[in-house]
Amino acid sequence: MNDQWYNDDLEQFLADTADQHRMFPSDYVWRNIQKKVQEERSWPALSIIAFLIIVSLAVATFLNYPPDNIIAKVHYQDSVRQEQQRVQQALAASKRGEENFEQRLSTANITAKTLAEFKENAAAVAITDSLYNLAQVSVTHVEIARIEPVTIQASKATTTIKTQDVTSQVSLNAALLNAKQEEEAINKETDDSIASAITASSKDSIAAIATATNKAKIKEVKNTPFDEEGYRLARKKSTAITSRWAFDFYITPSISYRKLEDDRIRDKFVTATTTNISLDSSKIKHKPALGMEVGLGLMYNLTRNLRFKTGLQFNVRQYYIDAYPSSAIATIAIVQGNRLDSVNVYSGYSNTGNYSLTKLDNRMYQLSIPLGLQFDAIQTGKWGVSVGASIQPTFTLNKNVYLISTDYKYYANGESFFRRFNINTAVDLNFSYKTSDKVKFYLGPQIRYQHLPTYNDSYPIKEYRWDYGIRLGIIKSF
Amino acid sequence: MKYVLYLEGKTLPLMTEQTIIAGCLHSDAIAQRELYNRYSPKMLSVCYRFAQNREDAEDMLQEGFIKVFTQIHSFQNKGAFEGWIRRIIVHTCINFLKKYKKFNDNVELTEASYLQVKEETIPSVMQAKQVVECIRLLPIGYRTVLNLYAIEGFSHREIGDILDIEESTSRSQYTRAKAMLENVLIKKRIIENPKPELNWLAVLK
Repeated sequence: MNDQWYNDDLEQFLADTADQHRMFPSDYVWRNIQKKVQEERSWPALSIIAFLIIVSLAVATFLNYPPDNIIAKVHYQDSVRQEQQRVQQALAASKRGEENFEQRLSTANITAKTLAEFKENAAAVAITDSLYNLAQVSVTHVEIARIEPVTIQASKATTTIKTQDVTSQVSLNAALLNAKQEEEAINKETDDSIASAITASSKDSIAAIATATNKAKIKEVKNTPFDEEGYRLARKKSTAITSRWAFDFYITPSISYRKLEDDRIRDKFVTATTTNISLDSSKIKHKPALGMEVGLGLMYNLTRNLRFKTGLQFNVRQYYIDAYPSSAIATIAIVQGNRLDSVNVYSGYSNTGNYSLTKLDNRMYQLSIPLGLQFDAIQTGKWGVSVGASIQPTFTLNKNVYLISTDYKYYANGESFFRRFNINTAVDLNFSYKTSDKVKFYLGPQIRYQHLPTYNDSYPIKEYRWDYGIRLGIIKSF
Repeated sequence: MKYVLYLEGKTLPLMTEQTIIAGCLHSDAIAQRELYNRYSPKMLSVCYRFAQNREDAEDMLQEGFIKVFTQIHSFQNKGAFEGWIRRIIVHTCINFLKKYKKFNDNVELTEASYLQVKEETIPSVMQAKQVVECIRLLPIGYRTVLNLYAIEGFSHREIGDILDIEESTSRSQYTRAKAMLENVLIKKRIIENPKPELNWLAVLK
């Protein structure tokens, strides 16, 4: 130490000494690093799912516009809107009138001038009967009662039920349902409110008029026949225009059995490394895992029993590999043209080992566009049977899956051999149950075949490409 | 077989540096963990010399290793892998200090002419630890220049570029930092005060 110092080599001393120093970081540091690093290469599942939901909603909105019963809705909404405006105006006017009314009453004299003011206010807004016709308008009983003194006095001689104002059978029907309840409430509250403000004599006269008027209105509303059959026919006619279209939402848990096959093309090219090794399935421990297909489809009825279907489908396909951690360079023999080649890749897992068994999850996320037909074979009442088939161009979103080396010993990243585009064919048999004219649930088995291997043609080992699932779905007609 | 890595209940065989690099290039979690286990103790010590406390040092280490893993494809096998990691870590430390404005208090090194040292503040466990702790007693500006020049081997020109100061400033600050550290090390009895050489010739004269 002294030598170091007296040689005036402080820098060297510091560098050597400081370099020997070690500190051990807390566990959370590695967790944070791993989280950050893994996040950056993880598949943005949430973003994709959110995107799919938004697209589905947009498509659904677009296809469902204009709504099937638009005529009825427009009439209904227009009449409600008009009546709401009229009621608001009436309320404002009645409030003004009531204030004046109370002022006049405070002198215990209802003069001709006061009555003239009431008439003027009421005539300006021209309310009365419609208040009862539209029960949907959120006017409280108290508010209606407050209007009564004004409207009654203004129109006591001319009150009639103008049923022609009822523009919608729907609103009329609703009014009928609520009319009786309102009759009692209005009568009572009208009486109460008037009783608290006016003299006994005027109370009697006004209450009598109000009761008579209300009863007359309600009686006429009740007597107006509701054309239920006509209403139903009108609705049926309007829905018939777009009933060829339907939405289909389904989910299919599925599973694929793992079985590898080696094409052995490389045996034509003699090499010492691989020709003597045969594929032994018992040593390759692949286990099936539950996958999933979720789809949103659009259907178009070509005939009464046959419909074309398409849509967007999200698939998760996976299987497990039993492996052991290792570090080695794995060799993959590939045949390119007329020559045998090999690729060396880093392998973090081995097929054999005596400790630390690890389960690798080979999972693929795919998007596909099914194009197919569905045929209703049997339809008896609510129950039915249909068969369907579709071709599904498929795009795999991720490619970080493991592949096995040509000597069947190691697992390595299969990214460079991975096939992004593929084609699947699915056939399904569905047992359906209608819960209404427009909604149908179905359940049934599905078989799907992947036409091309997961890895490209140069990779010699092929897998079993059938998978089996149970499809559960709902079809909603427009 | 020799096993050196224990990860989440798994004992793994020794990995060579090339295997680790290859694994990290393929984002293999085991290789990344192995790299971290191998270099994090030394790199945390580097961070600790720059940081004001251990928490800051761990934050620097975390940022640095994320850069290492995400930029490992840029390592071209020119020079030592450890040196490449170390440079990333050092630059991360400097950026961290700049980002969180840790220089604000003490970057004007001329003001730090006196440093009070209590002999009992440093536990005499290991010389390396003592030296590191002594370096950390310096004001942050002194410490940074001294770390970069004396330990990390940067030139004053490079230090000037990194810290956005003049090269001459770096030189003068290093001289003061060195003198200050020398005093601290002497007081801590880590080094001995150099005895003046007897100039026998002068006596004879």
